[in-house]
Formats: sequence, C-alpha cells, structure tokens
Amino acid sequence: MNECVLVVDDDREIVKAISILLEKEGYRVLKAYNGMEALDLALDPSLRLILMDVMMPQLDGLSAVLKIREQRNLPIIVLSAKSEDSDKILGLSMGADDYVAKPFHPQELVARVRSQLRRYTSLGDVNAAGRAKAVVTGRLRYDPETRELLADGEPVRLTATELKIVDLLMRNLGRIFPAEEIYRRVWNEEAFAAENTVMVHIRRIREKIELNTKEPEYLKVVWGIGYKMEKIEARC
Amino acid sequence: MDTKWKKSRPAVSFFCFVLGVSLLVLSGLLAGYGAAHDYWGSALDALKRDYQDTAAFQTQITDQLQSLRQTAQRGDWDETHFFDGKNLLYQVCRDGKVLFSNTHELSPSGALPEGFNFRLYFDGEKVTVEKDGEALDIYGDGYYRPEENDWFVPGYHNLTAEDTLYGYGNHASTQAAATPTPSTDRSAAGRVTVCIAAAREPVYWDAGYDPLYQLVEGLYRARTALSLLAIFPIAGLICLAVYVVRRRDKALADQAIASVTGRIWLEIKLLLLIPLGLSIFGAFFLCFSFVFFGLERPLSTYLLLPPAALWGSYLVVNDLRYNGRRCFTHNFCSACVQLFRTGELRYPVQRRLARRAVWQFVSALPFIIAAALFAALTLFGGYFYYYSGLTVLLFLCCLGGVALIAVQVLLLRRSKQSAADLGVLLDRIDAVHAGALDQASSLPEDSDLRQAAEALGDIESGIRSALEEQTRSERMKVELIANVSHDLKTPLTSIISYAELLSQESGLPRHVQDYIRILNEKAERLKIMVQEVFEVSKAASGNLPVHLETLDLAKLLRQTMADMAEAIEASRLTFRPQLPDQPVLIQADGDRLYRVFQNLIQNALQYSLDGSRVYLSLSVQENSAVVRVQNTSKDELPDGIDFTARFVRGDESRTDGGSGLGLSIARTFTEACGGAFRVEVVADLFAAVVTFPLSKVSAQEKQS
Repeated sequence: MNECVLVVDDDREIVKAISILLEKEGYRVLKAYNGMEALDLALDPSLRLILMDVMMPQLDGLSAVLKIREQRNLPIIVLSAKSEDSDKILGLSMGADDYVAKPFHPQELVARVRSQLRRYTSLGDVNAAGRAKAVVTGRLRYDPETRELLADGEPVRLTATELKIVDLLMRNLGRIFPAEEIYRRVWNEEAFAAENTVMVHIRRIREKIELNTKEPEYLKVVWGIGYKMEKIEARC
Repeated sequence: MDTKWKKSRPAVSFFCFVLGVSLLVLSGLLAGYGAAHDYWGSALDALKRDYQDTAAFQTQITDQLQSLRQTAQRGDWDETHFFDGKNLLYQVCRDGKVLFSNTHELSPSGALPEGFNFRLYFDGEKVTVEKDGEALDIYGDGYYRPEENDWFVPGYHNLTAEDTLYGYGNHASTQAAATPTPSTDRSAAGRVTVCIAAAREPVYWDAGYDPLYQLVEGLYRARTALSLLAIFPIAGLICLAVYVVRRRDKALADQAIASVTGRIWLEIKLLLLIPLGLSIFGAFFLCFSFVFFGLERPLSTYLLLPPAALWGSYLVVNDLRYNGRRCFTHNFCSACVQLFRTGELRYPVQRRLARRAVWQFVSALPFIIAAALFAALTLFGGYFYYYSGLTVLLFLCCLGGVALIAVQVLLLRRSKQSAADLGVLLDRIDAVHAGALDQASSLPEDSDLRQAAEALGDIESGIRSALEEQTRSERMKVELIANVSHDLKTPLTSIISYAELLSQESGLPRHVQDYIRILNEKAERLKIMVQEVFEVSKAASGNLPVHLETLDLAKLLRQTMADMAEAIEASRLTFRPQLPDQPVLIQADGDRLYRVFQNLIQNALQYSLDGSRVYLSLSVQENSAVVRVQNTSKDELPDGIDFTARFVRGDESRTDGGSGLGLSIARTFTEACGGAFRVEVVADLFAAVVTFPLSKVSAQEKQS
C-alpha cells in the first residue's frame, strides 16, 4: 500500500471528502484544484492513480487527461456531473480508464480505485505465453482451461453453478443467452421458472465481481432477451 | 291524466273561441232576422203560456168577427166559405135565427162544447168575452186606444160599428149598401149576432186553412227562436269567457296552427286567397239576404260559406301574425334555390364555380333559341309579316342574341380561369394544413386571387417562424434543466460523501447513528430525484435516445420480477403474475421498458394495502400486447386526477416515498418506445395498463 493518489476537483469539500475516504483505505493522497495544478503534480513518480474532475477552471479535466497521457500511463478515473452516455464515451476516448458520475457512492469510488490500482500492478505479472487463451473483458480475466476467474488480478471464489454460468458466458463473450438456455446447459434439464433461479445466481455472481451490484458493468441483463457478459475493451 | 289535460288545454281554449264567436255571430244574424221580420215586437207574446192571452189571438178573433159580420152584411155566404170547425166555432144569427154556422153545438150562453174554453158573443151592439167560464173585461174605461186594447170590436165609445166593420176610418171604402148606423149592425133584415168559440188547445186537422192552429204553431216557432236566441248568446259568451281566461293556451294553439300553415308555399297561399276573397263577399251577401229575406238558398250554403270565410280569414291573419316575414320568404322559388344549393355542395369549390358559369350560359340559351326560332319562322314562314320595320327589329334581335352568346362565352372562360386559380389556392391551403410550409406562390399577376395567395404566403412564413421559435424554446428548456441538474449534483456529491464519512465514524451514540442513517437515505433519495427529473425532461422533449429492438415482453416481465425478487419477498404483498409461456414479441427499448415496469412494481410495493395482492398480467388482444399491473391502494385514491402528470402523488399530504415522477417517467418511456400507457382507477383499485403493438418479426429472425 501507501500508494499515491492524486485527487483533482475545483470543489474543495469534495476533494477533502475523497481524500479522507482514501486515506482511511491506506492511500496517500495529493490534492489539486484545477488542471494546471494537476499537471504539475502528475509528474510525481510515486503517483499511481489520478481522480480527475471534468469541469474546472484554467484547464478542464479532459484536456489535462490528454496532456498527462502524453507523459504517463497511470490509470485515470474521470469524475463528472454529466452522466450522459456521450460524455462517458468522450471521457474514455480522451484517455480515461473509468468514468464515474457524480454524485457517486463513496464506497463504489473506493472500490474502483482499488480495482484500477490492482489491475495496473498485476498487469505486469501477466505471463503472455501461459495466459494466451484467457478471455479478458475489462477487469475480468477468465482462463477456460484452468476455469479460474480473476477480477483485477485477484481470483474470485465461485460456487460450481456460478462457475458454470461464468464459463458459459465468458466463452461466448458478448453473446446473449436466454435464461432457459443457461438453465438447460447448467442444470441439464428443461427450464421451470428459469428466470428466478438464474437471476438468483447472477445476483450472487455480481456481488462477487462487480464494483457496484446495482449498476453492473459486466454481467448484464438484456431485457426481454437474456443475459450476457459485456465485452469491455481495455485501454491500449 | 294531468299532462293529457295540459296537452289538450290549448285545443280546448281554441275550440271555445271558435264556438263562442260562431254562436255570437249566429245570434247576431238571428236577432237581425227577427228584427227585420218584426218578431221582437211580439216577443213577449210568444212567452205566454196560453195562446189565448196573446195579442195575435185577439187580433185573429177580431178579424174573424169582422169577416163574419161583413159576410152577414153582404149576404153572400155559401158552403164553400165555411170551414169545419175543430178549433174555431162560429154561429151567425139574425133576429135569433141562425144564418150560417159551422157547428150545431154553439150557443151564446150556456156550456161550451167539449175542449172549448173561450167564447165571444156579439149581440149587435157590444161584445161579451168569456174565458174559462169567467167574463173578461175588454172595454176598460170604454175608450178604444190602439196601443192599449187589442179588441177592435164595437162597443167602445169612440168606435162605431161601422169602424169596426170595415176598419177604423174606412167609411169611405165600404161597399155596404146599408146606411151607417151608430152602434148597431142592422141589415135590412134585422139585427145580426155572432158567436165565436175557440178551443183550449188547437189541434192539427188536415182541412187547409186553420187559423188558430197556425197561430199556435207560429207561437211555438217564435218561442223556439227566442229560446235559441237566449241560449246562443249566453253559450257564446261563456265560451268566449273561457277563451279569455285561457288566452295563453289559445295562443299556443294559434302558434301550432301557424307552424303548420307556415310550411305551405306562398304561391299556394296566394292561389287560395282568391276563393277566400270570393267567399268573404258571398258570406256578406248571404248574411244580408238571410237577415232580410230568410232562408232563400239551401241550408248547406248558409252553413258552409260564412264559416269558411270567417275562419279562412282568421287563418290568414294568424299566419301573418306568427310567421311574419317567413310567409313571404317560404315559397316555391326559394325551395328550388335551396335544392340547387344543396346539390351544389356535392362538388368541390372550383367545380361549383364552373358549374354555375355553365348554368348561367344554359339559362340564357332557351331565350336565344326561342328568339332565333321566332326570327326564322317570321322570315321564312309568313310573307305577310314582311314589314320593313319588323325585319329590322328581328335583325336587331338576332344581333342581340349573338352578342349575348359572345358575352356569355367570355364570362364563362373568365370564371373558369378564376375557378382554376381558386383550386390552386385551396390546394395550397390544404398543404399548409397538412404541414408543408414552403410552397412558392404560383398564381399569375392578373389573377383575381393574387392578393389572397400573397396573404397565404405570409401566413405560411408566420407559422414557420412560430414553429422554429417553439423548437428553440424547447431546446432551451432542456438545456436549462440539464444545467440545473448538473448544478444540483455538485453539492449533492458533498452531502453523500460526508454522510458516508459520518457513518464510518465509530463510537457514536445510537441516536446519532440514526440521524446519519436518515441523512444517507434522504441524500440517496435526492440523488434519484435529480436523476429522474433530468430523465423526464429529456424524454418529454423527445431527446431521449431509444434503441428499438425485438424483444419478448413476457420474458422481460419475468426478468424484472426476478430482479426485484428480494423487494417483493420482503413486502407483505402477494404477487400474482399471469404471464403466457409463449413469447410475446414487441419492438421496444429493453432498458427503458425495464424501467417502466420496475417503476410500476415499485409503486405497487410502496402504495399497496398490507397483505393484499398485486396482479401482473400479460395478455394478447387483437394484435396488441397488454400488460396490467393492478393493486389495492393503501390510501384512498382521489377522483379525477391524472396520476401520470408530473409531481402528482396519490395523496398530496404524503411526504415519504416517491417523488411523483415515477408514473410520469413510466408513461414517457412507454410512449417513447411506441406504446400506450394509461391508469385506471376504480374505487381502491389502481391499475396501470401498458399496451404495445405486436411485432411482425418472427422468432427465427429474432435469434440472429
């Protein structure tokens, strides 16, 4: 631990709140209140992650992200009151690794910080040869041969049924499965009240792999059709 | 019974009026007749019970006396003069010896024959009258005055026997050979006495002349006439009194009659006026003749003509009074015009104008043809018409006809052009009405409708700018709400963050922890509300991105219920889903639709009566999928409010629970996906009904 995190926001109170939250988790927090200050502080070698607000004076967050990206590769989480899909896409395409809308759940923010940091550090441990066949989506990594699921590099403990479901969905990343088919493949019998049973398991899986169970990013419901595991491209 | 009486009141009143007037008129006529024939002089007479008290009787007896005396004087009696007495008996004697008589039973004194109660005895000087056994005093004070006494008999001091024989003052006209003697009737042969008796009740016997019976009959007739004359006016007056009391009812009857007569054409009414006028004249003439001459014509004419005249005039006056101008405007010609106009309406405007122009031409044609025919006939038909003046006239007529035709053709062409222009203008108006706002003005410079076309162009640009203004303001509204919600989110972030920090503090007393929990809850609620407001404004302005795809509505509902299974389990409600096993395919945005039903189920969970049931059903009806979420409300549902309007809550005083936007969002999202949303409230039952048209895409296509 003792990793260093930079928090940038023109609202001092928010910066303070986030800092307290992160310091409680054991991180060291640097504070900036506009884009220019952020640029200065971003050069600190011990910095591991940046939390950047978008709407700031002097230099707005996205331009700062662009600038920082020229020099450093650390994970950047963008905070913004704008929650439109278009804003999210814009932020991510500018170089952010994640986009969190305000107001956020503080716990969720902390979880994301942790997730990003873990991914960043554990990414270096990747053995390209051994893990070539693994299915990667965002922070999740699944090896079909070892039947092992990693979230942010950390293994996830799944029950047998849960694993079967994850296996099915990860092998067919992005494909939508109706509940009846999942049931048939997992329980080997015809579905009866498939939705409820499957949903129960999916809820449990979400609790284990998602950062925010109420707003799942990976294990999604396609309403009226079925379920799928979202394919999220990592930033190159 | 009451309404029937009410309905017939006008009729009754009217009838009384008619009857009253008729009776009064009749009485007037009768009175006139009576006056003309001098009935009324002897009116009182007719009322006397005993005919023998009447003046007519007295006159009759004195006449008889006179005639008998004359006959005795002349000496020219024979059998043919006598008449068999049934009602009137007489006996003429001279010096005690019977000269002639029509009975054997009569004597000057003593008992009268059976059925007779009146006797007059002339003993040569004076007269004694006896009625019912008692003598009547006829002389009074002895002087005869015509106005007082009716007994024109000898015995008065101022009347001589001569006077009474041949008439008062008629001495000169007597043919008697006898010398006038003061008081006695002496002929050469002696003193003449006459005895006359009259029956108590004359009877009819078929022997020709019977004066007494005729007298009685006449009295009887007069009595009838009198009684009629008494009754008629009284009845008439009563009827009129009824009419006066119920004047308004009669007015109703009048109006009803007027409405019937008002429907008749003026031409027919004018035609009927001629016989009416004639009948009025005839009626006056008839009345006049009746009064003075009695019943000359057959009775039917008297009964028909005057009433026809009277009530015909009444109808005319009534009609004019209630229909006024309409009398004159409602005629055959206007009916024809009306027919023509309604026939016209079947055609669109430009064709109507063209038709009218053609009609104009066609209507002049007969005249032209007739004139031409006439010209041809006279020119080629008869040589004796070949006067130079007439030819010139005919030639001018032909010229006039040709000119008329030319003018008609020109006008026809012009109005056709106008009709076409009008058609163009109308089409443009239709286009504007349908939404196409940028049509170029395409009417030529000299068109009649040029001004109208330009005005239309101005209207179009006005509408266009109004629309632009509207879209602009809509956009501004959305931007405003977006900015506001962003501004709200910043302090909200602080609140949530610090509330979280507070909840992480340890060692706080229990109640403080409670406060913090509440802070967290409310902050969370606020966050949701801000989100919802933003979503609603976007959806309402049409800025909500919606990705339509084919999905199974049944599956979606099952997924939603599974998703909310915990909350459903935790509530004290029983869910009764009725979902078909087969897929129900619709075109919609799954995420949005999930929100809709999540909202509805959330509503049901929050506002249902404890322990009651929530019914969720999906059915297919006539090419539509209908989802119904129905629950029993915890609180009373107010009447007549639109629950899907923004910020409308079931109970206005509630402060916990939803924001009032849930149903609004549900509705907006449903409609954005192409469905229909409505709320049905019956007593305590609250039902949200979502309808979607079924998708035509089959299941196989869906798999890809």
